[in-house]
Amino acid sequence: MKLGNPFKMIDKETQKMLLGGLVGSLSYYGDLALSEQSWYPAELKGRVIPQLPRNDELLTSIAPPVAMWMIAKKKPKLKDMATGTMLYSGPHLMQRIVVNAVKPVASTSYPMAFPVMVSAPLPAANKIYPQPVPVATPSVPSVAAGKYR
Amino acid sequence: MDSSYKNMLIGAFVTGGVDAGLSGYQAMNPDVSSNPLYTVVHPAIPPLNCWIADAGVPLALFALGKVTKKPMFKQMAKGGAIYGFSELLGQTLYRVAVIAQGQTPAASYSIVR
Repeated sequence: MKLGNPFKMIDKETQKMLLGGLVGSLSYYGDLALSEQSWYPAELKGRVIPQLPRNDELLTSIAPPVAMWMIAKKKPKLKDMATGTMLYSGPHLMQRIVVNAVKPVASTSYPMAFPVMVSAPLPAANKIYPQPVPVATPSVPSVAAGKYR
Repeated sequence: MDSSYKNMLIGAFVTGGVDAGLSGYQAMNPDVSSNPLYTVVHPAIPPLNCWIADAGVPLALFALGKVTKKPMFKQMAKGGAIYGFSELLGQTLYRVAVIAQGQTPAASYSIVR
């Protein structure tokens, strides 16, 4: 049984779309690899809203299809690749948004642009959580200090 | 945009939706790794939920197209396959690169950041 090249079993249009999808995928995972480096900018690791994906995730999901479409306007041969990038990046961005929206928000994931609000200390006369009243302890006269010494 | 592109986009979003559903459930319940749906067969290979969403859904759409003999489902399967193939290949390459550096890849890259 002769096994041919599986990439040649599909038509040219689909091959180009697969390559376009790989452009989107490799840009996302390439960014994931880079984001673990120490020199990676902290601004890209932040989030606009805690429930949204990180800024670099948004960038690597939106920029490749937009860039591919702009290139495809000048070179129509790359239109199928641009479609493939969109077919990957659109659903992937949706997946990232859903996962981040349902994930419990950690306290460290607040964006740097919005300072974390620090709640004021409770007043002493709090009706909901009243402060415990100190109980007066009866003073026991010491035997040494009494007048019956 | 012609209808074939529309169907491919719908198929890709259906595949991405199933992926989002399975990953979202895992993100909501971090202790779900004992569930057989999220089995990691090998650290270099994506977990089972990724295979179900990224390979299973396009195959199911293709089978639906074969049974109903409607080209619409086959076009949807094509769109889902482009999304799923890119996701699985990209994640596998990343996992192999992490292992090659002597580190252990995360169990799921859907909820890692």
